[in-house]
Amino acid sequence: MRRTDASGDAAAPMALPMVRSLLTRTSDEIASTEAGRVHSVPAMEVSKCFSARGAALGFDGPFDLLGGDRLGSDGVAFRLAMDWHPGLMRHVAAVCGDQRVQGRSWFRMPPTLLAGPDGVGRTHIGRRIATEAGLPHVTLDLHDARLVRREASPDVPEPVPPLVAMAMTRCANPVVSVINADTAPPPALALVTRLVDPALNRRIVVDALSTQLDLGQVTWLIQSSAPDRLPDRLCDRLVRIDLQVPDGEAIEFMTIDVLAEVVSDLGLRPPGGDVVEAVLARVGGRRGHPPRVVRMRELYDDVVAHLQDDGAGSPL
Amino acid sequence: MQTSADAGVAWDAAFRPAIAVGGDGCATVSLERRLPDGGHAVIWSHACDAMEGRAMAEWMSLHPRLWERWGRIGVRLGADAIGPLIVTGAMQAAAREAEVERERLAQEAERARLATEITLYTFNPKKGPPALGFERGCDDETFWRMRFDEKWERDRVVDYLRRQKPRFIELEAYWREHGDLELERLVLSEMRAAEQRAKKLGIAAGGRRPLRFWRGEQ
Repeated sequence: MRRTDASGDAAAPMALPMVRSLLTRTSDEIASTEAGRVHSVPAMEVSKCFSARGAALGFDGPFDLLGGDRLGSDGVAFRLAMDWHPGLMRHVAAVCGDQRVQGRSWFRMPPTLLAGPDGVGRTHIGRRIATEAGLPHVTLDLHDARLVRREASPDVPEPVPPLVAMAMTRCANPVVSVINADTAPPPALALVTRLVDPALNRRIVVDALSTQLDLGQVTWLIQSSAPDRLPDRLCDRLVRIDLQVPDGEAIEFMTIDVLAEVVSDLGLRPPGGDVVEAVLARVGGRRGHPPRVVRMRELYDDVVAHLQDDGAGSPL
Repeated sequence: MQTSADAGVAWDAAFRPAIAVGGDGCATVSLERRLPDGGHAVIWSHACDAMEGRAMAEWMSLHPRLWERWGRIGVRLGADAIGPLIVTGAMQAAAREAEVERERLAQEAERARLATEITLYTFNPKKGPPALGFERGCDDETFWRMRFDEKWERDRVVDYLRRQKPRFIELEAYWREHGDLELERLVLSEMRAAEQRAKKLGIAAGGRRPLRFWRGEQ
């Protein structure tokens, strides 16, 4: 096993051995054919177990740091191509550039506040970023009662969803969309503040797993339609990206994105041109005159309904 | 192989059509995506004969607003999703163009036919002198009008002209060459000659309209 010290994050507490022990495992090398070059996947120890039985859910051992092959000019930002959110595009491009300059060959965005009205497509953005970066995506609902409930025996305390996702994918840097922050109870907001704080999130103690976790490489995307109501303590730790409801032909491009998302989610064959045209026409028709705002969830459901109605896009 | 990206327009567009024509009479029409390094990557291509390829590339170049739409569909859903859109769109456009051209030619032919269909009209305006005139089938207005002081005078000329229908084209050509007045003079002189012939034949009607019962006898 060949070890490479790849920690260069200014906010990273260098004293933590598990953070510094970034590994480049020859056995885990993945041939990245996209760029015609072999790309070795770095990895890191995310857990420090304080139980003699070892960390639950297999948190022992190195976790992959993915997305390093997508940081170039033809990487995440280029693939994302969500030109109707220019602020987001600039941010993603800058983040990729920063990661490259600092020699960190994996994708990670600083904790980001996606501020915009309901239906603007914030979860869609999270999923797209994860897809284009080759990362797993997971949703953290701050209304989830497990976040604030204190379990007592015989109830088994469960880890929060992002940790389960990390364990399942053995990925140290998933993309986490944090939803319902606007109406979350204070304890949940306090938890998410700790999770996104670079001074704390490298040493998150998880009793359920009998371990201390490093979540410093996770991309946290906090969604809010009323960011001014979020606690200052949380907002101060976030890079704010204001999202506008797309208009004009951007609606069409967004619909194409959603169509691709539905096809992928439902495991359908890519639809033919006639189906694409029909979906675009249907969505255009539903906006009416004058055009009304179509929320992303509505758009998604509409595309699903259309594909099901037409029997188009048969399962793979 | 001659390669030409679309007509030099919108070089900075995210997507653009291109055509490569080979010496063997084959062409490859493609849709290219601009890469961050300034290069272009083909996201869809279609091989066809050169004539079809040129027509398709020309049609694509006429619709720059669709390039990004096709491009995004191609990038997100695969080349198979945009192929039918572009090929079918180009074929439908070609069919529409052919139909429009066919209709235009038909209209031109019909217009040419109507232009040779000249009708004699009489006019009895409440105010103004009675008149007669020639009108082409393709027009709404008479191109030549002859006015009279009295209605019977007009009818006397009409008695002659109604038997000259096969010559209306010839009269129209004469009008085009010599103008309104000369045509009036010609019609009147021919009418008088026809009246004299009718009198000689003994078939002239009495009164002010000698050719009233004339049936064109010479």
